Amino acid sequence: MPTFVRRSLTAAEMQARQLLRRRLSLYILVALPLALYLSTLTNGEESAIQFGALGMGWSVASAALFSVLAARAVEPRLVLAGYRPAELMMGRFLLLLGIGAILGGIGAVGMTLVSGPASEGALLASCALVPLVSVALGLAVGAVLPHDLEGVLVIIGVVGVQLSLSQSSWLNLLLPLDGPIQLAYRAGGLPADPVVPMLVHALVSTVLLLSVAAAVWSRKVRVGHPRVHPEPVRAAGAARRPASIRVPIPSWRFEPLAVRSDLRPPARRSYERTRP
Amino acid sequence: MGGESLPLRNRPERWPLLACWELPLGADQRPADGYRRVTEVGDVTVARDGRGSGSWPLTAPALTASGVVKAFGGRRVLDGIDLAVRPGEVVGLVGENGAGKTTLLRICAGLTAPDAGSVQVGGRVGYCPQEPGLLDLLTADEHLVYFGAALGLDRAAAVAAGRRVLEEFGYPVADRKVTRRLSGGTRQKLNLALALLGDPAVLLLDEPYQGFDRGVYVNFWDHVDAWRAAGKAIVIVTHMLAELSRVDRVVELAVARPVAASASARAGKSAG
Repeated sequence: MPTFVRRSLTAAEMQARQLLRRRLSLYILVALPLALYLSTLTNGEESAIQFGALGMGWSVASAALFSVLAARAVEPRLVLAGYRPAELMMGRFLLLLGIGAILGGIGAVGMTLVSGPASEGALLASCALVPLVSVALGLAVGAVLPHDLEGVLVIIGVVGVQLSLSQSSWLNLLLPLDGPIQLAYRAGGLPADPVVPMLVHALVSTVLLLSVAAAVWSRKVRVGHPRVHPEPVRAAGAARRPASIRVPIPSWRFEPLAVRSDLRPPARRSYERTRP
Repeated sequence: MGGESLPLRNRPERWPLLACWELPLGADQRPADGYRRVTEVGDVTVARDGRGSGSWPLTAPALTASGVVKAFGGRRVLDGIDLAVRPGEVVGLVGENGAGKTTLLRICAGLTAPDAGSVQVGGRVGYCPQEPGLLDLLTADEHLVYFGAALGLDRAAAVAAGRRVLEEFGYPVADRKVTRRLSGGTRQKLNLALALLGDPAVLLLDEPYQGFDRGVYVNFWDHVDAWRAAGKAIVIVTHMLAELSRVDRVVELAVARPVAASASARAGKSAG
């Protein structure tokens, strides 16, 4: 297996292990879009699908944001150890894409069964593209902004503005989730833009956001100095270090601490608390 | 110990914030072939002062920092620092809080970019940060696999190599807790083991023994001797001045003050 792939998969595996241990986060990841979808069902199937898709985007973008921020202190060290920034980035992208695909699959099946969409193809495309764009959005926000609060606020802002804008507003074009959300409109039976521009919008947004994420994040984790020579070079004719100052390690140093009586804690003395 | 006191060296005028002294060492600590250990403050040159027949190993430095300058918010923390560490040499980096020890170490590791100056290293760098840079929800073995993959080690080799170090420092390797549930000292042992993974040529240790109990702390300095003997170039940020006799050179970073102020202070002192 090529080194790039092997390291990327290792990075993805380790990030997956961390995520799987955050069970509450996983539940919320699924519960948020479900809650948005179910709470808007009474307003009509059309808006419920749109809100479900946006909730999915919100969840996935937040997961991506926190995966970047949680590893920010460690990843420069991983790069120093030998990872290329692109390998860590690819590992994260693969993991989040997998999570997004699962979430999108659950959403697509659930909404098809409950809402009976006007266009199943549009619903499927929306549920596939929302996680893709959202992963890119979360990675970009996580790379650019220094702290989680700012990042969460930006993601809330992007999703909130997307919700509040009317469908016909040209400002929608500036929002990364517009393409998949237009597809969700179409899936709900509402009049929407043609499909191809929506797909192009989603893909262009993804590429732009990933480019920003990769450029900024690689800059943040890069290791700076050049290596002039691969190994220290002994100058010609130089003597080795004098043997007299080599310090051999006595054997006791590797013995378990319990063996060393001098390091044992003193016997605990019992005491009584006296009452005044 | 019967150590001899050596005179204070003149402070070089071109480094107004730095001073140099030589540390008196006991006879048992002094190398037998005519060397003296020199403790340097604000070191810029090779401190070993060879006398006698044998020469100190004249290897190329494994770590060379030249003219490193770093400022934060208008305050120049590092002002033209030079540092060269040769293979098999242990340098202790001391100084007040805020003097720039951690910054210098991070610059040497390549994790922080200097405003001016350059750093060259001759081999892989192992860096142990002051705050354990660990992933809270991974176990020690998973950390070893993660870091080991960067070094081209397969899972078994990475875990075996890491566990060897961890066991030497008394880490409970059988315990499969995630690092979030470990004590500070135990996390620091893993932190140190990750820095040592892959046998780096240069070791940069930023107060690596924080939280260690007494036995492990003593053990740590014995390991430093072993790493020195193995030819590693080691820089240790330390506040444990009692252990400075165990390093080959001490570099003290002074808190930067405005040059005009320090010059006038010197003038006032000499006038007084």
